[in-house]
Amino acid sequence: MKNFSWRGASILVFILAIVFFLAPMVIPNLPEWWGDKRIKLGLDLRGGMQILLEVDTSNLSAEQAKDAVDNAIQVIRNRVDQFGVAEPSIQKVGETRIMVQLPGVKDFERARSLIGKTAMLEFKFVAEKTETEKVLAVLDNYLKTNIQLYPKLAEFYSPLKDDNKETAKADTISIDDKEKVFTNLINSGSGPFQISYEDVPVLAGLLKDSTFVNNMPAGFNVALGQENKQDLRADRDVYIIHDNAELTGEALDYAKVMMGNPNSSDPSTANKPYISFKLNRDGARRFEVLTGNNINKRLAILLDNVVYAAPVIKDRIPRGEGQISGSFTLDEVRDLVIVLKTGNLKAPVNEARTVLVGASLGSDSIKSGTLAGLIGFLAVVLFMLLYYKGAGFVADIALLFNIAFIGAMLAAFGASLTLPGIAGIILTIGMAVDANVLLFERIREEIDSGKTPRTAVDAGYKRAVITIWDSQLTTLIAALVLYNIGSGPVRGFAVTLAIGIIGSMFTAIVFCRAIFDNFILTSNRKTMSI
Amino acid sequence: MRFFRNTNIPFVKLRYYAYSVSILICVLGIIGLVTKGLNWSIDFTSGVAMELNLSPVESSTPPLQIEKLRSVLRQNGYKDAEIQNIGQSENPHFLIKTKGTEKDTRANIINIIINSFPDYTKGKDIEKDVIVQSDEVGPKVGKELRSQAMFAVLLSMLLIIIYIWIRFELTFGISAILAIFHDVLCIVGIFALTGKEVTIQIVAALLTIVGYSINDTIVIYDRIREDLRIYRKDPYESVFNNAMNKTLSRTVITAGTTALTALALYFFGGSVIHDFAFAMVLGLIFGTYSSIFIASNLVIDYYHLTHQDKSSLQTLTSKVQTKKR
Repeated sequence: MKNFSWRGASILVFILAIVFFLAPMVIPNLPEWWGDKRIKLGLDLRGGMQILLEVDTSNLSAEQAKDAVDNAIQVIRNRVDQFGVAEPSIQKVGETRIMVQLPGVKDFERARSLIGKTAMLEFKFVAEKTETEKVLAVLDNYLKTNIQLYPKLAEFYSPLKDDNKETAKADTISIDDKEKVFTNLINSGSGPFQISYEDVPVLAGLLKDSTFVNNMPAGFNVALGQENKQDLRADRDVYIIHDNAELTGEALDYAKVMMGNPNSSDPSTANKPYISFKLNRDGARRFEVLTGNNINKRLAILLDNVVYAAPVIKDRIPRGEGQISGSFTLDEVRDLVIVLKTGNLKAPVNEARTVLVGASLGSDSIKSGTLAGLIGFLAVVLFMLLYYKGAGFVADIALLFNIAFIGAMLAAFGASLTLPGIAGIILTIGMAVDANVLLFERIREEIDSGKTPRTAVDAGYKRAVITIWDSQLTTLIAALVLYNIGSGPVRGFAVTLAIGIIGSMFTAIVFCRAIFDNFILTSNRKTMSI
Repeated sequence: MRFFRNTNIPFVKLRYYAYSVSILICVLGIIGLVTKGLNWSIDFTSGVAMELNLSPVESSTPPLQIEKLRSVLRQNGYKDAEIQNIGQSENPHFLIKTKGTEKDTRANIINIIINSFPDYTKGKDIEKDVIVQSDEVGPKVGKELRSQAMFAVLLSMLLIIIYIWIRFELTFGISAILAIFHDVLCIVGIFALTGKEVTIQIVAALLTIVGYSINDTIVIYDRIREDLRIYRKDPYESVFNNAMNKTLSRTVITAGTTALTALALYFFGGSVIHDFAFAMVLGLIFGTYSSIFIASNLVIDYYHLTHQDKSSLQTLTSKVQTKKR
């Protein structure tokens, strides 16, 4: 290059950018700062799960709500890190939402429950016999007078239904007992305070009903026991508990996975995985006082309002050590330990949208997307060659550079390539030649009017460039709007479309012009292949 | 090679035929929208959509019949579930969709299927081998997305009017938007009439069409603006008509190359992208047609209505001319 020119410099930068950002995909073992920048595959191509969580801030002030959302992001990030997911993405969306993307995850349900658990660990006393009777009496009485509010409970009110279990029971209980709606409900299982599998949703519905909860005697609550993992349809325990938490997960020092000794005499841990925990110093002291003063009472260990264990306190427990055992698989114990260690969410989260993509679907999509892209590309390239001959060849080179540019920019921004993104690239191939078509048609017209190639190219460019700006900018506007509404895959489409437009404007206006000027219009040619 | 050399198609004269055709299609589209409405996908309505691989565990078992699956789901309370078989006959993949659902619908449906069809699920890793993909949308998100999508289409139109207003004239901007509105209405109408599902990807296609169609229109406007300056003495019908003819080959070629790629997507891009490509192809047809026949002709008719002589049109574009010089 003899003289510095802005055009030459910009082309150099353009090509260097392409080489720089595409190199990591071709050359292995680049230094980390360089090799890191690669095109990532979006979830829809790679497989994995994406959950949009909504933090339930309905009971919080604005200040607390913001805090709860930030806390949730931190806690979920810690959980995901400990779970071990490569390249997770956890982002705040709007005010109260969190987008969690876990590419490559295959254990959907596990990841899901790990993320969504509030993980509120609480120690609460189980109500004693007289207290329990009092609570049940109040609830039975309330439901009896308000049975019309709870249609689902009707069968527990009039036991003469054609339900075998109920009729069998009805023979042995007095008429008065039939009206003990709540007592009947929580004894619908085979033992006392055991609820049958079918009736669990009824009880869960009641416990969410605010009028029912408000009629609960002050200081008490009802909680379900853990479900039996070996037999999901088994009865579940029901506990009447004190509402006040004696200790919470904040007092926890550590929790770890333990495997019970096969020869252990304790059946709850023998050859079973369980969680061993230790409370921090303050917690341990409070626990010691608590246990010392309440010997022979039952202390329930609750996680997210489900009772995992309710052992009877036999002695004062000094060092704040304990264990949670139950019907666990090893994976469950591991996940519970993760949620206990990472702390609880300050507000519950709900799944607003959950997308699961199996790995095979992604690779199929890549295959068909690549095939469609290749066919579309070849068709366009051939057409340009046939229709515009030499100039078409220049446009085809520009098109190749443009596609490389899209790839390079995706890598540079760390954007993910999604299936709609691939569609965007393919469509861009068709649309990108537009700038060249505009130019070539114009140059042809100028040649028809008797101009020499050089003046025709000059005049054609002069007019067509204005048109290119006007027309491509409006497409860019549409792409920007799309970027702002879309999420995930569609956003990927908007990004590739926008990059493609910018790239095609640059290649047509600057890049092709340079080729024309420097290689094709070198001598005073009389003709031009267009 | 060259198509459309020195064409002289009387686009301006043909405009009333074009208007009638467009009005007819739009009316049909509106009838479709009013009577059948749009089949919004779960992106917008909330619900569950999942694709399950229910190939038999033993090769001797015959493939699962879709009717069996349907009746089992119906018995279990999923009466409105839509079920489609999208795999080959030996390797059936079922697409199951239920709209406006409650919590845990996905887990419930999968449990029902596991319990009812052990021959097709037993021994398989459900999460890896059965669930091909699944999308579960809560009601709040769905509703929001719907208003966002409509807002986006309208916002992009508004921004484009403003852009053309600045670069050309408000009349041009409004005519262009009418033409684009017509394109969108035609595509949406066809989706309503055929009952095809409107997904978020279709909205993306619509916005792309908005951008693409306006691009075409602007190229023609640009030429009209330029020619009005050169052929000051000619009646503007002929200036408009010439500009349309001169840009015709560019309009058709760009539509052609884009159509090549959209068709490649349609035929080879796989099932997920199929409807998106379909909307794009429709959009290319309507967009190109409306850019040629509707957008510029509307400008002429506007001036017919409001002005009697040609000079007024010239003065309207003079603003841009002086700015450009």
